[in-house]
Amino acid sequence: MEEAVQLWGASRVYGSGEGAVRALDNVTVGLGRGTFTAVMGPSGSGKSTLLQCAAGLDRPTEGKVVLANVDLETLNEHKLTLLRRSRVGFVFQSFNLLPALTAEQNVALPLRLARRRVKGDELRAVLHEVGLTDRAKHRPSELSGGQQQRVAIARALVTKPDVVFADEPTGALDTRTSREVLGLLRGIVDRHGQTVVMVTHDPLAAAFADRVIFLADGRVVGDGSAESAQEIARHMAHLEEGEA
Amino acid sequence: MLALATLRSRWGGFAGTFVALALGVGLIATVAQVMLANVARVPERYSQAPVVVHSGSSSLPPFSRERAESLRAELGKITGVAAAVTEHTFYAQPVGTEFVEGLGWSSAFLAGEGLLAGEEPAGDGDVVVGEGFGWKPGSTVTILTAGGPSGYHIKGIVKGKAIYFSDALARRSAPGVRAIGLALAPDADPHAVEEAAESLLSGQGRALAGGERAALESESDASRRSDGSILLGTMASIAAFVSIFVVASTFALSVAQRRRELGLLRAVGATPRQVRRMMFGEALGVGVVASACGALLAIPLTPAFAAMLERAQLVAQGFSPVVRGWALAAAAAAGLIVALAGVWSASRRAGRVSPLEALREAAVDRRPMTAGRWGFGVLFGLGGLGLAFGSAASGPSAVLSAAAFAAMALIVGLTLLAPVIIPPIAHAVAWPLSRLRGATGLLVRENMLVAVRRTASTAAPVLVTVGFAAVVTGVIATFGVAVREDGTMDARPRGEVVVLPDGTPGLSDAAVAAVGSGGEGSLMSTIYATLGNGQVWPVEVAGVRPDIFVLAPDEIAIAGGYAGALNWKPGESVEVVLADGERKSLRVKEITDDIDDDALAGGAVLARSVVREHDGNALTDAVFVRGEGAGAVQARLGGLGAVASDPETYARARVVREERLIRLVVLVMVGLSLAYTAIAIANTLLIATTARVRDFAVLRLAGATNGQVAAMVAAEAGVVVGIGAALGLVVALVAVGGVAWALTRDIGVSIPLEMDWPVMGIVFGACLLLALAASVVPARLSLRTVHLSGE
Repeated sequence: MEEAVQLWGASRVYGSGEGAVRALDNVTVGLGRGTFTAVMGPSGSGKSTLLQCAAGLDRPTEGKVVLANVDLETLNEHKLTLLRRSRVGFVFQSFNLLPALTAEQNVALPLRLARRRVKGDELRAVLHEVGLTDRAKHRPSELSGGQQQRVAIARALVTKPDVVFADEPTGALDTRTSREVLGLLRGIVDRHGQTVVMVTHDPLAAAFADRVIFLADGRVVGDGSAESAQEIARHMAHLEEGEA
Repeated sequence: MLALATLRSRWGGFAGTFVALALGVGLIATVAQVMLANVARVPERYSQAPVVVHSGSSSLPPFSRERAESLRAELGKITGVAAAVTEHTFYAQPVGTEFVEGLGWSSAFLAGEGLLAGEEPAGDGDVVVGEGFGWKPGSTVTILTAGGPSGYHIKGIVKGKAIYFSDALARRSAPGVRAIGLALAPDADPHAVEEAAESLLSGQGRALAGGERAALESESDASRRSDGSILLGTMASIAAFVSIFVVASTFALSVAQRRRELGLLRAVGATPRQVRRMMFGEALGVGVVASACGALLAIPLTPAFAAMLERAQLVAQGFSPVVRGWALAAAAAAGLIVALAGVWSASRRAGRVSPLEALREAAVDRRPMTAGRWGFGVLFGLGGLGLAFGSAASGPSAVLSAAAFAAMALIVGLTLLAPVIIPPIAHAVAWPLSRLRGATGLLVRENMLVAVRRTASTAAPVLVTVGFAAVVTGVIATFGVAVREDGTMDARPRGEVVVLPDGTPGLSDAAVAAVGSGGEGSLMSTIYATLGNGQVWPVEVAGVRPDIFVLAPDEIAIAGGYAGALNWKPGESVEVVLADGERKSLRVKEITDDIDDDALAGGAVLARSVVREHDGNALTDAVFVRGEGAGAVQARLGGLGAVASDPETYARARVVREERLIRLVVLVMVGLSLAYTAIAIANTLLIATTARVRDFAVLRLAGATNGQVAAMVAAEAGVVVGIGAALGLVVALVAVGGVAWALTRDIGVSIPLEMDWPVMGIVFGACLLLALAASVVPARLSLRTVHLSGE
């Protein structure tokens, strides 16, 4: 299977000397196309850092990242932005949308930034995909948390990216809304072969994935197919116990 | 699209920039139109004289009576000339008015004025006056001339505002002739006549035609205009400076506030260049609308401003500026440029925002100082210092301008270096706060230190206001002290009472006589000497009474320095031209130490009788009286346009013209900057406070009551205002200190640094009140609606 993203010996160090923090420590991992991967770990394990490096939002201090067959190190900030714009979709935990724009305008943003012509039916299709056709003209302040996340996913999808990265997408949502959003993510992988990489600390969310990668102290300590939520939870408890 | 959408939804944040820019453009447009209209114009009284023969600038002697007469006869013979009229103008002031010019009746012809009622003046006691005075024919009016007051019979009325005497009287009273007006035949060519006149003159004077005649504007108009230009120029620069300042700091603040949004944009795929362009788009949007509004604002503002300037005697009489579309357009364009310039550095910073900023919660400025800020900050700081200390006392207007520019440079420098300067100051200031029990002090200190940019942006407008107010009032005060010291040093030894003109340009002979023999005052006039290189040089001359200094009618005494410049040696016989254009041979006599400097005033001394004989217009500046009280002297001065006062008043009266200008400048400068920075302070604090809603929610969660949160906000605002005011004071102390140092060096007496503390207290109080209102009110309002969940 082809791999959408590869990290080769990636490390990310913050600060220097005594106070240096190794958020990522020599991580080598490949994420296959058309799969739903969950990256789990206790807080401080480096899972968000892994995501940020894989998505090209941050540069590793050592090692390399290959995204859509391009070595990210060879790109300057400008080209990196262009690559991200067309190949990557990103969903944050919160603050995903520009408050000044409507849902529709937020979704269209990456296309407009790329100066591509925005086709009305394309927009409508992707909004329909996330079930928000009737909220297209509303501003984020008029949408619930769950609805905002769905708009964010729609925007992540509109450029038909190679990978969609999600950083704790359900962290601020209640259980029912979380399940809806996760169902949506599962749906795009199943129906359209989209690659999704999600960081989460919630075993219930991770259960929606195909594969779970466990991180602790910046290193991969577990990697396997996703089991039930209970299994995942037990795994996590082991990890945290192991540290204590 | 993005820029417009942002503007629409966040218009509150841009409101401050909008108002500041609109006001700035309006002001600059107004000032520009006034300056354009403030040019020399052809005086009304030559409206029927297309060609005027002029004796040259006022630093050259006038035509003598014989020369004028023979010229007039010859000029009358040129083809095309219908009539040649000599103009006799002299000092004539109706008691109780500010009008000071008398003309011979024949000048009415040149002005094209016919009698509206009555007849022309027949004898010396008759006058014809303009209807503007509101007097009736047949009544009597008392007019002050150089000799003293006298009653005149109003024989006739003309249009406008002028006073015409009989030609005979005018000829006797006017010291020399400076202009001969030529009325032309209907089909005559002005330029041909002009050329013919020029050849007649052969260098001894000029012929002016058409617009060239604007050079004939009166001295008072000319000096008013130059005063006005200085003020207008300074105002325009201040308006521009403050506009740019407010716009730049507002955009800088908005970038800091919108960090997360900008990070999100970058994450979604905006390149740094696209982010920069978006900011320029916003600036353009605000700029276009604000500039247009400002330009429109100038339309009603211009006449109002012109009226104010005319009343302050800073523009020529009869000043009426016209609304010029292109000037408005140019000012609007300037406003646009200011908007774009103001956003330039903020946009660069915006482009550098990393996508990860969207994920960050806290508002921590990690590297607020860039190499650019260091470089320019130091540069401006040094520049300001240089300007302050290098301001030579070349006249109060120049000193004021230098001080203003020094203040501006220092303000910019301090603002740029703020992130370096403010933390230690904040530490020092807030240390006592954090020692208090309770959380407020700690919170205030940490907030200020962490959000350095926000603190600097809020302190900056206060810095500007307090700095400007302090500099301007400080320079005035210091300069006032200097002038008083300088003048009092001269005046006091000469008499306890000084008689000064009251509403008149000088004291008439009658006033001097009324003071009596106990007084000592010189008649002031001008003579013209020829230097070795052929250049003609005007020399101010004082006519003194024989009991003060003995001079024969054919002698001239001159101070050592002047003698050297003119290359005159004692005992030598020199030829000078007197005020009436007559040549006279005089023997040079050296000044001894018996007579003090001030009697010389300008450089030369003549016998009083000689001055009076040759200058019917000469007036006395001041009379010093010894051995009597002011009251007793004043009792004798009724109706003579004079007032008896003390030597300090005399010292100040020497710069009374500049003092009026300075007072106006103070009002304008301080008022302007106060208004502007009021906008800036309010704007900055409004934006900053509303953006900290989440902080307040967290505080509430931690257990703070609404009152405590409001107290924290108020304390922070207070401390920041204090810091800004302190820095402003530093700026002022440097600038004013420089002026004091320059004045001390110039005058030779130690001039202390004076500040106007009451005014500064008021300014500081106003800033504080404004800052508190602009931060506490939105804080309380937002606390009402904040959700404790923290969202």
